[in-house]
Amino acid sequence: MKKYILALCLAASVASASPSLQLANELMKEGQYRRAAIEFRRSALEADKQNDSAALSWAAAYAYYQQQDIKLAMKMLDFCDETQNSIECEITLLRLDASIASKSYDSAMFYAESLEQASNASIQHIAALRKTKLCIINGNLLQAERSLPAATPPQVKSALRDYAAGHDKSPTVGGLLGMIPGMGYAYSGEYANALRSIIMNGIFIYAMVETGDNDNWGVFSVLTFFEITWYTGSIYGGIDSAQRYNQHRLQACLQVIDNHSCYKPNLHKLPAISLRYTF
Amino acid sequence: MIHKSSSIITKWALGAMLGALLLAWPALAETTNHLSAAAILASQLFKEGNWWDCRTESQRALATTNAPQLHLLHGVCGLRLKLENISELESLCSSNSPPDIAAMAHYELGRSAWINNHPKKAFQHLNAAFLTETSIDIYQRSGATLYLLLEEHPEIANQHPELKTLLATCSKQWNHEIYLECRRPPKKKNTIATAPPRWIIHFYQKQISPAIGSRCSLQPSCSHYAVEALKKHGLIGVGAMADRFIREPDVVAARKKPIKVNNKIKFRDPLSDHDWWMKR
Repeated sequence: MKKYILALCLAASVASASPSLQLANELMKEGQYRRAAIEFRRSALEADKQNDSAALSWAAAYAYYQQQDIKLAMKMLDFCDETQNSIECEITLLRLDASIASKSYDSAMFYAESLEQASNASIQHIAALRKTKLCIINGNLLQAERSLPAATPPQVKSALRDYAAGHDKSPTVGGLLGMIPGMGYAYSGEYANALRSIIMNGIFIYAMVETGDNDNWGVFSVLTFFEITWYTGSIYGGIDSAQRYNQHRLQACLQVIDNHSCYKPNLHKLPAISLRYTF
Repeated sequence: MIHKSSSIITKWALGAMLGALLLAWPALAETTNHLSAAAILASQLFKEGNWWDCRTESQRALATTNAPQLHLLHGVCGLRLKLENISELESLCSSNSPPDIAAMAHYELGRSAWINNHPKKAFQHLNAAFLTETSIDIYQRSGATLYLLLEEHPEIANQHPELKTLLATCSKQWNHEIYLECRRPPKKKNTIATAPPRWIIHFYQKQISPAIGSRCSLQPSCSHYAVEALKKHGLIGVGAMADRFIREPDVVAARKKPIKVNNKIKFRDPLSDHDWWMKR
């Protein structure tokens, strides 16, 4: 009997979703976020109640955020704010993530701090971890450790400790070492790239010397042009490889934090906003 | 896009005008939410510069209501997308259409003709838009564009001396923003220092690559990456280009960020991932 009631409820919920919303959900599943966002926007404009309109605008913002179109995501969140609604925390949470994605870290910190007083404990937890993430990005590791919530998973603490214990590579040193072909890459641990750089520079320098010795100045000038390209690449690569090393180290730590602070909206419940959290 | 450098200003200005027109149209302000929702969404998409979706949305709205504003949106999006069929906008230029719609259609067709080097056709349309005098925005912009067109083509200006005098009188209304919006998009010049590498890359892209096929496993390809680096950073782009050639085997081996391009799996490695630190 219970199975029949549950089946009826599910059927009712599916039947009550408009075709536009059903299409939007399908498009989200397929990863076609831009088209899903447009369906959500149309549904928001067609909605009778302000709360429903705000929730559907939030869903459109979420779709644009997935598409990495932060400007439009923020615009949709502005539409949410224009109507009276009961989803202020969810709006601020998405604004926080959108600000991080667009590298507006000051705004993101503001949103994270404002969510510390949220009534929803899960959103509070996520906001605290986002604040930790922002402190790490800003290089303030002490503040990052203080911002960790009480129920922080040990993996996050371990990732933060490992990051604090490691050292960044200096792009300046990488660039200077890059003046010796391949050494810039080797400084950042990219030994395969270092070997390729040494080989390419070596071949062209050898060829330049040989053609210069033979007074073959036409070929010498062509070879010089190419050698300048490889040599410039060695210096640029020295700087960029150091930046890449630092970025990889930072991203490895931030990824662990993100894995323990995910949320996903349950789009089948729209226009009610319901988030599923992963800690 | 017609106006490269001032596209954002043009989008917002025209989008705002069209949005106001749409909302004022009685049929669209009906209580039937579905009609007005599609039209409002089309107007919003136009303001965002999303021509494809705006065109789709206005077509959806046209299925239920035959409003000239929607035809205008549909036609202007087609023009932005460089679709060749401009008959929809030309039919809006007739006397059957409301004057403000006809003026906008004339303005858009006039600008398109000017950018595509058809000065006489451009003059006809812009003159019609200027003389309609329905909206201050269209009046100012059509006047400014007409003035710039006549400066470029004195032979047309000499045939209409009274118009030249009228434009000179109106020129006091044009501020710097309107001038930037209405001028031709300036062509970005490459530096002469990057000419030799650009020639080599151009030769490779046009002569060698079509013969041997697309070999690069990265997106964008190495030649496109090089062109972008040279355009963006000048001579420093040479270093970025060489760095890409050195790194390519490692990036392919890492198999991160796959993307499907023309039914082939490639790996994303944009220039923005390797020059963001230059902004600091």
